[in-house]
Amino acid sequence: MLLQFRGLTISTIEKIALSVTLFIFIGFTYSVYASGPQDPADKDEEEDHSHVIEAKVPSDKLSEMRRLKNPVVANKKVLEEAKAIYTGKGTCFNCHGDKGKGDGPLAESFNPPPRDFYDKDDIGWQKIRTDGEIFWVITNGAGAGMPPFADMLSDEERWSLVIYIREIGKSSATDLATKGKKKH
Amino acid sequence: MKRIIWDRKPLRVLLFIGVFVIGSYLSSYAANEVAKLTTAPEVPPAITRAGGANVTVELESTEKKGKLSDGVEYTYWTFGDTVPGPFIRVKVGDNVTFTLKNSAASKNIHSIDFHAVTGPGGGAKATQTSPGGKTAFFWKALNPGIYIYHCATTHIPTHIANGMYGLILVEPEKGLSKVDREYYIVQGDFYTKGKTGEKGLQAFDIEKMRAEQPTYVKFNPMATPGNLKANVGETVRLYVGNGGPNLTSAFHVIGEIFDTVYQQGAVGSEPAKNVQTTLIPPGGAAIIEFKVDVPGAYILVDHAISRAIDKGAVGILEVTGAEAPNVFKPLKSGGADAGHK
Repeated sequence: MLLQFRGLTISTIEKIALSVTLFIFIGFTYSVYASGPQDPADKDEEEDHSHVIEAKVPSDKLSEMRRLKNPVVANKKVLEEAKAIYTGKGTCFNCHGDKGKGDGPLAESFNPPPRDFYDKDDIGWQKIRTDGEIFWVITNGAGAGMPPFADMLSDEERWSLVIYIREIGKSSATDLATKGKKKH
Repeated sequence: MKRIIWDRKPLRVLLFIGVFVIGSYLSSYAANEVAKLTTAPEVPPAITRAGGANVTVELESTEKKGKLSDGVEYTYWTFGDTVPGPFIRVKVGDNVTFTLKNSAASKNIHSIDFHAVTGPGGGAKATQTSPGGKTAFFWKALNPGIYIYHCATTHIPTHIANGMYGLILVEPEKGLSKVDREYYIVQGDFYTKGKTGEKGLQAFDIEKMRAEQPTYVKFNPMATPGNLKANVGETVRLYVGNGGPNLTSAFHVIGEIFDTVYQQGAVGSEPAKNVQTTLIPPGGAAIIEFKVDVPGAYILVDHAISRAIDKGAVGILEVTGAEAPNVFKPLKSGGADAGHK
């Protein structure tokens, strides 16, 4: 079938090509509009995440720690006890926040900020770091902010905290999946 | 010849008593005592014994609401429920066993760094104490002087800014000279979210602390209230510390000249004489002595004067007694030539 326009004729194939081109153009324009103006800070934010991915365990101990398995078995009782340590004598909530989002009342004292266990920015920290690494950091501290808990909490209590931190990660993953915001 | 037969039972009793007496004597050779702690501005009495005693000191870290200014409250972090913490007095050569308890009601880990301690962190590493926990360490008082102690748990500036500091005196072997009055004062700078004078419970403002712009500068903010007192003719000794965390104090008593100052708390050094204002840095202290000659109210200030007038760094020494017109007397006011007739 041919369409005529001031002496010009357009074939069916040409119509399809025109429609596809229009569709792509409209789609691209909308996606640029929907994403809004580019925030110059976005790039910096991405760069700031490097400290999240970076291993805190010294390189000579890293492989040993990565091999460690949590000797404490997760169950309801352990989780309840670990939560009590997190919000009590472990004082974890002060920096890492009640929900593990790294937003506790003392969080703004630290640079880099306290670890976000909830992984609200979906950086993938929970996947990258092993139980043994988390246990090592709780035991020995990290940098100027995180104190060592070797003398304040027993081995079992520190391993329980690892379980609790993993639980926070699970709720994060569920929430992100529900909201359909998961990037990776 | 009649042989004397000893009854062994009284012998055993005598032997037991002898061992007990000798044992008691030996054990008392190094005295055991619990340090007497006082709340500012009170100071424990001078130590009359020799150094080398076994002294136990125990402090509890707490987090407690208190007054910062009129109508202004603040949640202090404290040693012993007071800011500054209790005054501790030991003697050079003493063997000190220190215990830190952290109240179960605390929300934070706390610790202590004694500047008087020779050893890692001044005890900080050994005393990181979780809420409800207890830690201890031993140290020997090697150097005489007046020293600050403070919390050394991350974030350290926050712990100090919330009031965790105090003074410990290590008396020299022969003690300090006798004076009539001793008082204990510590200056600290405080950083609140609200402006100076804004009423209600104020939260800590970390950005103001980092910018070193305090909303309040105070002497003994949570201690026994009231003026220091002395009588005309008495010699007063002030132990003045500076908890900081940021400001260096230009400590001055309006209307007095310090006869003697052990600057930097350096007991054993030649003291400075006739000092108007002495610098006391954060984490430092000084011993200041002067005789009061004239009755009146003498105002203690940080002579970076807006800290005194606008931010609260003020205390009062009330001196009572007979006027001393040979030293000071007001003249009649009147014309420009008043007092020349």
